[in-house]
Amino acid sequence: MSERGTGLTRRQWLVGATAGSVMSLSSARRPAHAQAQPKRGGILRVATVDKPVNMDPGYAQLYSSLQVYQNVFNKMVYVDEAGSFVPGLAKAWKQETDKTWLFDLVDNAVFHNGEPMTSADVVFTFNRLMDSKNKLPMRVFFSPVQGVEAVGKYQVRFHMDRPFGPFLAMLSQATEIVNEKALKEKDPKLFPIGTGPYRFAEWMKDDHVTLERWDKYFRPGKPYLDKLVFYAPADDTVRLTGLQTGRYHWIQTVPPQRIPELERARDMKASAGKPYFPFYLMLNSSRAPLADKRLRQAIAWAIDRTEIVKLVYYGSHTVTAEPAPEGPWATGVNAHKGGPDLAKAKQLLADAGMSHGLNLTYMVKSQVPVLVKTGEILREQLKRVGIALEVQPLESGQYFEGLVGKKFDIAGAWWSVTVDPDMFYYPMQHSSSGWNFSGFKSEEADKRLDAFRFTTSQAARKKMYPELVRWFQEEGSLVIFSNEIQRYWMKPNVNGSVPLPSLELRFEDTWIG
Amino acid sequence: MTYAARRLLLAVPLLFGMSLLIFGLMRLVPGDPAVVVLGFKATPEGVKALREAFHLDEPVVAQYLRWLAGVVRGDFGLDFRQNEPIGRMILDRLPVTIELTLLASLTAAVVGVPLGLLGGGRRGGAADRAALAVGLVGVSIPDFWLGIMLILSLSLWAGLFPSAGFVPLGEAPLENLLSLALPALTLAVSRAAVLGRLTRAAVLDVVHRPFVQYARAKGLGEGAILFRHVLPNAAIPVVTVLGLQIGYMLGGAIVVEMIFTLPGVGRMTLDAVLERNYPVVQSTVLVIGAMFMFVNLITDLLYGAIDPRVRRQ
Repeated sequence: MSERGTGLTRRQWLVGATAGSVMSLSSARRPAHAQAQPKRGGILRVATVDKPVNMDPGYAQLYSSLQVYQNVFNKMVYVDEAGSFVPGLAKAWKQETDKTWLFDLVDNAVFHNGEPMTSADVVFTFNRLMDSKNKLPMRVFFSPVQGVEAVGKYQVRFHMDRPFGPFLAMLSQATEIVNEKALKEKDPKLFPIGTGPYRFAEWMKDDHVTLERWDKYFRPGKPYLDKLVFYAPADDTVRLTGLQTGRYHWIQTVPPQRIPELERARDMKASAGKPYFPFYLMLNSSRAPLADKRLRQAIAWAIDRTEIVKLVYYGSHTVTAEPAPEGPWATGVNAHKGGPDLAKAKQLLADAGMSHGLNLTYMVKSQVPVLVKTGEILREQLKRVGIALEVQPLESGQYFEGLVGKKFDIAGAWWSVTVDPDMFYYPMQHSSSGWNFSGFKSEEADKRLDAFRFTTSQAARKKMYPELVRWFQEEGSLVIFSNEIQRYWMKPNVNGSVPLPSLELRFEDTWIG
Repeated sequence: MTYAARRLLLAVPLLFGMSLLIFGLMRLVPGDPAVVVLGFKATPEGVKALREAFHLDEPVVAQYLRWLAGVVRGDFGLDFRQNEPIGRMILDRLPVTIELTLLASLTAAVVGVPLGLLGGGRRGGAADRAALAVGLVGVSIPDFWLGIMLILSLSLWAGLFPSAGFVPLGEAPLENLLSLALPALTLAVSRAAVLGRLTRAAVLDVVHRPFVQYARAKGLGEGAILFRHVLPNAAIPVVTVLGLQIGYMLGGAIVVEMIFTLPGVGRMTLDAVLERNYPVVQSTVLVIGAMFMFVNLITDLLYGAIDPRVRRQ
């Protein structure tokens, strides 16, 4: 969940760029995968949605920063298009016991300051992350990690205090390996130094960041591009015009209403589209009236997801009730299948003693016009069952204060991170989480979430997941209504760029034909 | 003490008052900077820690004095989001805004003043009616719409100019001019229209004065009368408005900077306001205020250069 949207502003970690697509992966018109032989050279000018602010991966504050420096650093593990974990700086790994993992590292990675990457760097990275004195925000995601031990020069062992189910997913999301000497040499917030395919060259604030090919990259022949320049025009139309005029070669978002026309355009092509952004309503369960589960369920039964997607998102979203409607974690579960069911919604309202009507507020960031419009459609839909919804578009400072102080009935939001759904449910619904803005607290929820998180058998986790989805749908403190389809737009000669479940913009495999 | 020195001294209490005003206004805007910076990561513990780090837990007066003491020493402090020195942030962005302002003002003056002269000099004629129509259209077009239209026509369709972005002057002068051409034109159109209408009115005010009739009776040509006698006498209100326009644009042409993705002061200030980045807003507004005062001083001094009567006073 974060600030984002069409013409949006800030975004944070776990949050990707906007995208939009009418099509699913299978129907994408001209997928970016090219069959031709990759070519070396060229400068790729990339236009993302927002500007970076901090290049230190320890802080990982904003997605807009992350999508730049992910090309400067490497993680130990990555996730591919299919959602499978693939080698990064770790060439192999195995789970030794329920609580220990052993990783073999590559022996030819070199930091951009000339330092060879070894197990000491991995140990340093995690010690830095886990040291509470450093107050690094990503620490919270690795709370079960007790320590990291250098077994050899290119081998490390992770010790957990509990079995940790989404460990590989977390590694694929949150930890770029850094070098202690490099951090001391230059301010890491401004001068990122990693082992990644591109090295940092220049950062002209509010304009662009230039990265150059790292010739000592550990993967022979990669990357293909000589230079990668990131721009961040704030407006969808400006970005699109830039692509059409050739100023940019690759852009992140286009106005959703123009997608059908752009799909026919000859001067650009679109990547495959993947639904990686659940959009949902947070129903404040910490106070009346929505502390009453029946009222939350009434809302879930009253909303018409298809109508919202059609009227607000022009089909650039897919209708869904779960966080990951495609990929390894898709379940197809919908506790409100057949909805909207207005009779059922009215009955639930009557059961809760609200048959005379109910007044609620919908809090939304005014900078996210699509979510404001969603509120307007919701207002009309809920009116049909006797709920009067007041849409309150708030400027971002007030919106966040409202969330933290739980001063709302319903809030519109989105999240990302579908590599492992633990990253969606645990932070937002566990009673101990600071992200539990809907204020939902339940022993049963914690028990289910802990079981899902602290089980290492992926088969066992997959077995328990559909029931977890259904249970939360029935509780109704989060009502997922759609999932935005991540899709990139580029010049026809740009190849090798596809949306990843991790939402990384990995330009290592991108080349210009 | 000279007039200029007196004006400069007067700027000190004005800037002090401005610092108080902007500091107070920012505190009245709802939204905690720590919450905004943390966004969705705004846990109560995180907010508390960040408030301490930003000294937001101190009394407001102490916060003001801390900031003001830094400003007096030339240290604007660090911004909340990037921990970057604010002075450097402003210095990085000012050249873009100054160059854009100068180009737009120059274009506005070069187009607007002759347009007004043409109209005022031949009141009621075809040229006057055309100048009035052009001026009316120019005043009526909103910057955001014109900017997008210029991008679509001159950039996307004609391919003459880049659609967005900025190239520093020192890096590639021609590309720099090309990158600022459309933004400057966008800003210039409405300002040229205002200048044109103002020049026309000022010319009309002067053109029937006896000294103009005398010049005409002497047999001077209309061009010489307009440029040598009418224009200098009509120039003071035009220079005043031009000075004000320059002052406003130095404050950042926010919409134009957003549309053309220019890394100028306006965009930075807008972002800072949205992020409740108090020290950045306070410092930027103070610098803009100082520049505005400086431009006004220059304008006042120009009156003397234009009109000897003002000089004598």
